[in-house]
Amino acid sequence: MIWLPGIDYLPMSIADYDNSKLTIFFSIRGEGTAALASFKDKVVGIVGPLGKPLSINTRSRYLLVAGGTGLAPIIRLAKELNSLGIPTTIVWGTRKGENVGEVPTFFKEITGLDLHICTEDCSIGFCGKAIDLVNELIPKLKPAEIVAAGPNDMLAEIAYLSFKSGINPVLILESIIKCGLGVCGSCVLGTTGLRLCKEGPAIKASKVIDYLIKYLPESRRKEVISKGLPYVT
Amino acid sequence: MSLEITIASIKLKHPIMNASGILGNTPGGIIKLVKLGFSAIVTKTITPKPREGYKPPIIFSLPTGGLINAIGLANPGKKAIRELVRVAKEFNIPIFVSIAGENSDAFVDVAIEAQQAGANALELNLSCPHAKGYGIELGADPNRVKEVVEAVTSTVSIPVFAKLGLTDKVVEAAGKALEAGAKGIVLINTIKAMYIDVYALKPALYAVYGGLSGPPIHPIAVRIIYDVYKEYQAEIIGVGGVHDWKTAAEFIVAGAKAIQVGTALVYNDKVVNEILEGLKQWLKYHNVKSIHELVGIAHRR
Repeated sequence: MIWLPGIDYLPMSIADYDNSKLTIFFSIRGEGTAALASFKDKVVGIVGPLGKPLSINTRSRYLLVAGGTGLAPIIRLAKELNSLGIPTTIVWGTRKGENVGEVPTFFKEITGLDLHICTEDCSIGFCGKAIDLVNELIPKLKPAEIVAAGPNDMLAEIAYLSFKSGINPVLILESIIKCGLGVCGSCVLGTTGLRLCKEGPAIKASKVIDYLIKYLPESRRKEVISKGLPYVT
Repeated sequence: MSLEITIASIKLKHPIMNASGILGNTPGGIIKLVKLGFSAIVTKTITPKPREGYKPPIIFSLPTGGLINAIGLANPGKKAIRELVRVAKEFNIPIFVSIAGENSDAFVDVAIEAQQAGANALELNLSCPHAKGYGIELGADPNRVKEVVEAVTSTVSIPVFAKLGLTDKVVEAAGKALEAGAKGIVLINTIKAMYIDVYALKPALYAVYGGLSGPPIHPIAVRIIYDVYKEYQAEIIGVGGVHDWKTAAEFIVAGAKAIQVGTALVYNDKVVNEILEGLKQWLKYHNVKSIHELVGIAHRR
């Protein structure tokens, strides 16, 4: 959590850190993030890190998928995977090409890796949603591990596609984090009882599919409910 | 040997319930509390209408131990009670609905809703230290405590507990609550406090003041439980800083029959079972069959 004294208290992913520098990646959405963007030479407080760390499977091929600012928690993971020499592919989707800007350069500087960019307005990179490219990449890359971060509808689709390929992906979810200590209840994921700030934010899809299923398109939702999928039961 | 207890005619499989304010404001939160092993669920304090509460930061873990919070009675309002109660019932676990209002009428309004929803008991929050016009502002005046408790107990038939906090008149207030028909007293709430960040040179909580909880307030809770039990031998639920079997056992010896745990959950998800295991050994050590035999035993001379 990033504390802007007297202004706000914001949940943020750590994009990178070394001994004296902590990097965060965010977009300006409200009063808090606007204040953070212009908060120069002032004291900010940091509480964390919160939640559970991700464990890395060193004998695997990774496919990382990020939607929009969902890229934030993927950056540090990509750097770690690359430094361990683990083959890693990263798909990043954003609605408009104008959102891309310096992001690929910034990403490469930290991680040493390139982004597979997808834009819905087809102006840069792959034409379509991140999930469409992922659908093409899964059979080609045959990744053993998939980690995704982004909006719930994207995560639900990732879970669906991964399950079909026999993979139980790790999903990095978002919800409203207020206290960061597991007590206020605002980040609880539906009736799973899982708290994003304590048990999350990275959770195996099989544990949250009941919560995400409502974000799937009707036909797929019906398919999941009627047939079941690997891991779902 | 058994850890079962009966408090205000409510049977509990063991004496450890959650403290109000921890997770009990959504169905998912109730499910989490059930999974954590509590014998009864206490909801977050519910007011007639939904309340946003304070802006974050609403809580900090303190370098001196414990937590400070100013959530500001954020809650989904009385309409949410039905669903919260339903979820607890699904797991067959008694549910206490914690309620608050700015005056007796508001308490009665939520109390009726809770009873209709099937709540097993009510906990009247007369002690929240950081919401203006609520809680301790009523609870500090024994006559207002009496007025609120009387208004509720004369309207509903389910057991009513008054949750009181640290004030100069807490023993008197407990007496008035019992006189007014409360079946038991919950002691204590968090204590008004402040945490200042010396780099930012500002109080850290958005609301400036907050309620202190956790181990730092445990000895204060022991003293108040002891005093209230000594005066009235009331049915007491102890709360404040319990984080292991010893801190729980101390409350029992002072006079509490049941115990609520809140802050400790931040640091230890397994705390409920750890306390229960310890209490079993403790009963064996004293060669007694039931917790009831040790409730308030410090007062026997």
